[in-house]
Amino acid sequence: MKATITKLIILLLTTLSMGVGSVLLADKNTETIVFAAGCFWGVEKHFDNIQGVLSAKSGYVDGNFANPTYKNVLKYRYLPKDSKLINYAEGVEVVYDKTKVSPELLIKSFWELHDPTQTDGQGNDIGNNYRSGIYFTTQQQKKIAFETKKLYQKLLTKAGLGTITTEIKPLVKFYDAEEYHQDYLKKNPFGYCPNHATGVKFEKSKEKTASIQPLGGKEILVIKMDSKSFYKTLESF
Amino acid sequence: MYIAIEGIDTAGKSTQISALSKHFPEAVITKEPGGTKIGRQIREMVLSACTKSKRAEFLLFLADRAEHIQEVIEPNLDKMIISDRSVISGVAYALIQGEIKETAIVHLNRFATGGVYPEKVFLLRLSKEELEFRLSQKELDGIELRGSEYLLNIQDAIIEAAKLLNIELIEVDATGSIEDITNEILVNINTPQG
Repeated sequence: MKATITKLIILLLTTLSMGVGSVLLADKNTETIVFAAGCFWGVEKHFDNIQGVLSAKSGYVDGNFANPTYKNVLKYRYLPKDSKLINYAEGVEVVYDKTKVSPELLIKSFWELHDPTQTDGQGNDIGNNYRSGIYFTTQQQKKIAFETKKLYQKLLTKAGLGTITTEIKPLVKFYDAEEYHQDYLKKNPFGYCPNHATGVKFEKSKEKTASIQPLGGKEILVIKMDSKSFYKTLESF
Repeated sequence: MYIAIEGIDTAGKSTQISALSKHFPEAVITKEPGGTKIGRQIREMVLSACTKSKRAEFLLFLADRAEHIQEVIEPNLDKMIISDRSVISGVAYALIQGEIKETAIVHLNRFATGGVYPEKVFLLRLSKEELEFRLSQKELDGIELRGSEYLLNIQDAIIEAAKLLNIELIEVDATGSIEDITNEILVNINTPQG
């Protein structure tokens, strides 16, 4: 009887220590970084789809008032530069397993994901809440962020584009956005989240075959109204 | 409130829906046709041109609409719904085709939708001059460009369709700035109907 109890205790302790061990191990490999690259709906979807990312959450980062809400963040988006009140940026908190995905891959994908040369906005989304930023939590992330910024700037300049406006700062606090913002594009597959990427990539991809445009893209095709053109009309814009 | 945005190519529909969804982040954003799984399958069928009969094709569009109303619109009528196009586009297209009588188009659409129509429809309206200017600027996807006449016919048919269906159509001058247009729509959404 005694022996059984001892065995049971040993078994229990072993299980507990293994559990603690795996948690510790998971923590050791888990890192967090926050990216701001315009409207968070599309940014969250982007990082959610990268292998090795454990979670991607929409939220607010880098402002200075208590308990930001979507309503407030939209309201304060045109604050003057010298305002004492600092608005939050729409950001995405990415938690990843560094044994499965490198911070370098994530940060490079961030640069390629949006247009970091636009100040306080992405395309038609104008406002300081759409500013570009990397908020790091490790020295390695910081180093990679600055190094890739330099490299990406060279590539942008070569492509005739402007200067990067992205801020690179340590993460102070991240506030989760309201529940209806989480996985927004999964809930709203027809939600519009236009892509504002510059098209400049760190690695050259295979060149696409140029489409046939005899008049250099100025063709106007008059197509007789049929169902195909109806669908195209519905979808082309 | 169920609202729809209508407008021809280059009118700025997706830009406006994108801007509106920021003001109504809890809104359901949808589209017609092709807003449901069945709708996307129907789309494939129509695009692969397997229907010979124009009536069959018309009925396929109605099937798409019926499914969309039942699966997306009706369950969310207590919420804000912003739809990229609506029954109005469907009726406008059928009118232009001229194969089916006006009364039949209206009755069959009422049958398919169960009379669930958008409360307000915004038409982003372009003048001929503005449309031609925009088409000339749209260099990148030249293959998508169509004659301005063709597009203006659709625009006129949209207005006619709204009248036939007795749906409130609010015409918004699509020439203005993105923000002005959004504000005009927002003011109208907040104004009681009638």
